[in-house]
Formats: sequence, C-alpha cells, structure tokens
Amino acid sequence: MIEPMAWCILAPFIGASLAFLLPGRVWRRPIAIGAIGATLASVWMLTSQVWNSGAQRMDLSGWPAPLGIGLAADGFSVFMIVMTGVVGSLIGAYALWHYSDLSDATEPAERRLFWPLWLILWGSLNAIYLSSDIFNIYVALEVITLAAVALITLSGKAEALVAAMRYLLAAFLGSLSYLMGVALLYATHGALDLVIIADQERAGLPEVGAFALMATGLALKTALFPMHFWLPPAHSKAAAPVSAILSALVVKASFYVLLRLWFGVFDGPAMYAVGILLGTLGSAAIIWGAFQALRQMSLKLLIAHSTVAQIGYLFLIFPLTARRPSGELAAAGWITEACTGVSYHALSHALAKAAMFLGAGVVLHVYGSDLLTNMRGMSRRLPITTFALAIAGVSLMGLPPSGGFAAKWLIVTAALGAGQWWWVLVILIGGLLTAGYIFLMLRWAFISEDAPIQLRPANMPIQLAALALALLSVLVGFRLEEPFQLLVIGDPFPIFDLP
Amino acid sequence: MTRHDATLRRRRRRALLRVRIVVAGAGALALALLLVAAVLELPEGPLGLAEEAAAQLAHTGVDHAVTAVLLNYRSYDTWLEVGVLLLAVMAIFALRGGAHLENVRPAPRRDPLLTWLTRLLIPMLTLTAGYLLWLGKFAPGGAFQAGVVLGAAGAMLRLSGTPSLDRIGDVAIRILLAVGFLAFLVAAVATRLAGLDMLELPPGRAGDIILMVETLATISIATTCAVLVMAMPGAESPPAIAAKDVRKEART
Repeated sequence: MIEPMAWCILAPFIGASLAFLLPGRVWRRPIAIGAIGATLASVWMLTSQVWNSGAQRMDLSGWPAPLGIGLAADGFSVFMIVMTGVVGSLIGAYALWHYSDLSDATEPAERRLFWPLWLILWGSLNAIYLSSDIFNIYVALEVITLAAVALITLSGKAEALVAAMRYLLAAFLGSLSYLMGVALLYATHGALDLVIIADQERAGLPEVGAFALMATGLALKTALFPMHFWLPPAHSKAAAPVSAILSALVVKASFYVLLRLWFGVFDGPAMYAVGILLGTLGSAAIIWGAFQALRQMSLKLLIAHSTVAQIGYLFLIFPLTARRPSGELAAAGWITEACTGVSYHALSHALAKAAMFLGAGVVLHVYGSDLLTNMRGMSRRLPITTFALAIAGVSLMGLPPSGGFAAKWLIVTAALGAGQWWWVLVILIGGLLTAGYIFLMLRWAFISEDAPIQLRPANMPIQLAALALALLSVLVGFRLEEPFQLLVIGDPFPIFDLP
Repeated sequence: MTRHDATLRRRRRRALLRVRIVVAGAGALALALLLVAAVLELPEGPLGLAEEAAAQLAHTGVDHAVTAVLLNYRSYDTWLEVGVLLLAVMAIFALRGGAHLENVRPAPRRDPLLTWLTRLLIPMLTLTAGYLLWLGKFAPGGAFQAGVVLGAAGAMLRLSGTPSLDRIGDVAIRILLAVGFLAFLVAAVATRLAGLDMLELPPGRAGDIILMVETLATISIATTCAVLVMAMPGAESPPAIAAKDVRKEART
C-alpha cells in the first residue's frame, strides 16, 4: 500500500511523465483527465485519513530524519492541498478546452507542453505542503519556479517572454536568499528537518539572520510589496489558465513556507518588530495594489494588481501571532481566529482569483482584447461570465456571506481582540478600494454597445469552469465548521511556550 | 525631441543609475555584516550530519558519502533535481514554440580538421563518462559529472556538423530525456510495493540499484545538455525572430 501522502506527489508526476512522452492529440485528453482524477482521488484519501486518524508522517529512503527526508501532513498541509486540488482541477477543466484543437487561441506546439508542465507544478506544490525538510522545500520551490516560468513563455508573445525572464531572475534571487538561510540554520542546528529544528533551543543571532534571509527570499517569491514589481506583467501576459494557476496557487506556496518557519523556527525579542514590519508591508500592499488596480485599463492587469493587494492580507497574520519583547503574546486568546482567518483568505482568494482570470480568458477569447472599454454589452452577450466576475468580486470585496467575508471577519476579530485596531482600518479601506475596482471593471459590462459588433462565440464548458470557481468562493463562507476542525489537526500553528 | 530633452534624459538616467548602485551597495554591505555577525555566533565544534552519514555508509551500497547522500539518504531531493533538468528542456522547447528538435537547422559545414578531432575525442569522452559514472561508487563522480561529459560529447558532435541526436526522431529524444526522472519514479513505486519505505534501498542490493538509476540519470542528463545546445534559440528561424522581438521590447 502506498500512502495517500505519497500518492499526492506520485499521481501528478506519473501524469506529467505520460503527458511528456505522449503529447499527441489522441492521448492528451485521456492523460489529462486521468491525471486530474487520480490526483483528486489521492487528495480525497489523504483528507479522510488525516480527518479520521490525525496528522501523518512518513520517512523516505528508509532513513528517519535527520539523515533522511520526512513527509508530514497536518491540518494546514491538507487544507492547502485540498485548495490546490479543487482550484487546480477546475482550471484544468478550462485548460482542456483552451489547449484543445477547438481553440484557436493556442498553437499546436504549446498544447503539447501545457500538461506536463502543469502536472509537474501541481505535484511539486503538493510536495511543498508535505515536506518537513527545509532543503527539500528549496528544491521543490525551484521546480515550481521553473515550471511557472516555462508556463508563462508558452504563449510565445514577446512581452510574455520579457515578463517571464524578469520573474525568473526575481524568483532565483529569492531562492538564493532562502538557500543562504538554510545553510545558516543547518550550521546552527545540524539538521534540516523542521520538527527537529523546532524542538531545539532557540539559537539567537544566526537563527534570526537565517529567518531574515529566508523571509526576504520568500516574500520576494510571494510578491509582497515592495517586491511585487515582477507580478503584474508575469501574471497578466500569460495565457488565461496559466494566469489563474500563478495568481491562485503559486504565490501561496512560498507564503506557506514562510508561515511554517515563523511558527516552527523563529522566536525571540525581535519577533514583535518583525511581525509589525511584515504587517505594515502587507498593509502597504493592500492600499498600493488596490490603487494600481483602479488605474488599469485592461482586465488582466487589473486582476493582477488585485493579486498584489490581496497578498497583503495574508501578511497580517504575523503581527497578530507575534510575541512581545516581554514574552507575552500580542494577541493571546485570538491566535486561532488569526490563523484560520488568514488560511481562509488564502482559500477564498484562490477560488475568486482563478474565477476572475478564467473569466478574463473568456472575455479575451470572445472580444479579442481585454481592454475594459471594449467590454461593452458583455452583460447581455456573456451573462454567465459577467455573473462569475461579479460573484468573484463579491468575495474579494469581503461582502457577506462570501468566503472573503468570513476570512476578513476573523482577521478583524483577532486584530480587535489584540488591540491592534489599525489593521482594521487598513482592511476597511482595502475593502472600499476593492469595491471601487470591481465596480470599475463591471461598469463597462453593463453599458450597451454603440453598434453591433461581430464577435466570436464562447462555448459553455469554459464559462462554467469560471462560474463554478466563483460560486465556490462564495459558498465556502457558509460552512466554516469542517475547515476549522481540519485546520487544528496536528496543531500546525504552535506558539512556543514561554522560556 | 530637442537636444535639451535628450541631455536631461541622459542626466536623469545617470542619476538613477547612481541611486541604484548606492542601494545595491548598501544592501550588499548589510548582507555581508549580517553574515559575518551570524557566522561569528555559530556554535563551535563539529556539528551536522557528516559523522552520522559516514557511520551508516556500510548500509548504503556505496563507499562515497556524497553519492550516498545523493542516491540513498536524500534520493528524493535528487529525483526533484532531475525533474528540474527535465523542466529546463521543456522551458527551452516552450521558447521554441513547443517544437522539439524538428526544425533544428541542419548542422553547419564540415571542417576536416574538426572532423578528425571529433573522431579522436568522442570515444575518449564516452569512455571518461563511463568511468566517472562507475567512479561515483567510491570517489567523487556519478551521474551528474558523467552526464555533463557525455553531454559535451553531444555538443561536440553538433558543432562539428556530425548528425547525432537531431536525427533520431522526437519520440526517442523524449524517452532519452525522461528516463532519469522515470527511474526514480519507478524506484519510488517499486520499493513501496515491495514493502519497504518509499525509495528505501535494501542494503544487499543497494549498490546495483544505485548504479542502474545513475546510468539512466546519466543518459537523461547527457541528452538534456546536448539538447540545450542544439535547441538554443537562434538555431533555426522562428525563435530567432522571437528573440529579436524580445531585445526590441527590452530596449523600449
């Protein structure tokens, strides 16, 4: 019996190998559908296993850590893997059409490479969420970066190549910074396993330096303001399914690693200041990203800048879970709210943002351009896509009863409980600005066109994929119990005991 | 545009460059200070896994600690690294518009001296690669070193105008590129089905399995290197145009 944990990595890798070896027209669809199905089945097995019998751990190569590499799954890992599975397979459903011979948006050549690249990327996202080894995480981050860069260049446009190159350089700088931190941590603790490092005594300056290097690298990869410069071109110039994968899933992986380090490795008198710094940069991202989104004239750039803003909310977790120099927790009693709120934000943003980029893909296909001013008459021509964009927008704004509302409500509760009221102010302003750019985006859809124009028809499946993601981003707000119970399995957010 | 405008712009660009240099310098200085301070605080004495890795060496099937780390203790990492190489080839294919080696320009004109040198060097490179692969068992060497040497042989064939990988067809190339990744994949599934931990090598047979996996990895690494040289943008028409576009784009 192979463990479900291992299947979550093996299934997409087997699919990727097959898709690479058999890129022909006949095999593409069965392999893609088979790989999505097998990966989803693995995710389901892992979820029920962790749900029923608690956190899991397995050793690879027969060598227990520290000599070997361990895979570990707690509630938070499973939460992220489920998010990747649901969002990834709906994007996959869209891509089945986008990269098929029915679509005239793609060349036969790029259709051969999408599936192997995306399946390797999917497998290594799962590998990150399951890894318990900081060097193994580095390798998996490299796989993700390279696959993402190759996916961006698939569209073949010159501007996509430039964006991909800039992304590659920024991401490699981030990787190297992270790797330097790994070296320092290994020199300090003599081990690479997260659990072993967490159990050892905190080590002062080398450890703080390691965290600073790793956090800088990971923040660059997550596109935290002001290191977000590479994101808008990279995410907007790629093809629609690729944009959705990058914005919804890829940026979350490096953030996940940062959270693991924050809760597992980093502690000390500097913690509060670092938390406030990360929270402040997140707040700046919320305001700056939303302002930039307001100024965009093209749909995909608007959505990409919105990603910069939404990433900011994720970083509010750091000030809310930090420890003051005196040793007491800044938000004692509210840690659970802060952690579940931010996890929930990651989930609802992934769903909503994937829906928006896929919707933008439909617009691009039908109208031939994604200029906002060209989207006149869209509400009548593409009612489903307009509805999907609007619904996803509701979740981004954080209107009840959406998933975005639940997430922001939890973060606000935690911030008020911690007495850090200023984050609430940022969240409120951010929500207003989000509403601004969502309405700005939808305004053109409801203006009727001046003269009837000849447009390409859009088929149902791709519109439904976007709609399903948008609906899910709202529906996750209705049912919070199970995700909450899942997130605490294995205690993924431990705050160190007082020394 | 008047000359005045141009002068202004040049001045501004120079000022911006100066700011960048100052920022980069300050960043580098801060990083250096941080690293020095951190290294001075590091715990003294031998720390780390080198001793334990050496102590368990007898059970790994090889006599060299680095090979043991790469192909036994941490073979999962190596698997992902081989995946990185596969991705590099796919990225090059993506830059070529997805085409594999189909429209690579026929090899350049032959040069008698070069042909003679190639005839002399190719067997020696192949032999060296084989030796390095075998050497990994007890000394520095192994799949990566052997693969790079063998890949250099492929690049040399290409440069001298001798038909090689560019003539064996797409399917064969893809198989050669993927066998390294597949070897680890098969090992992962097979070890688990045999009731072992995933990727665990039974001490008795570990040496043979490692040699087999390394041989397949060598083939993939060598093919990857050679294909990267052959498929470089500019080797044929379409991507050459794309590359020109990129340069134009970058300038504006």
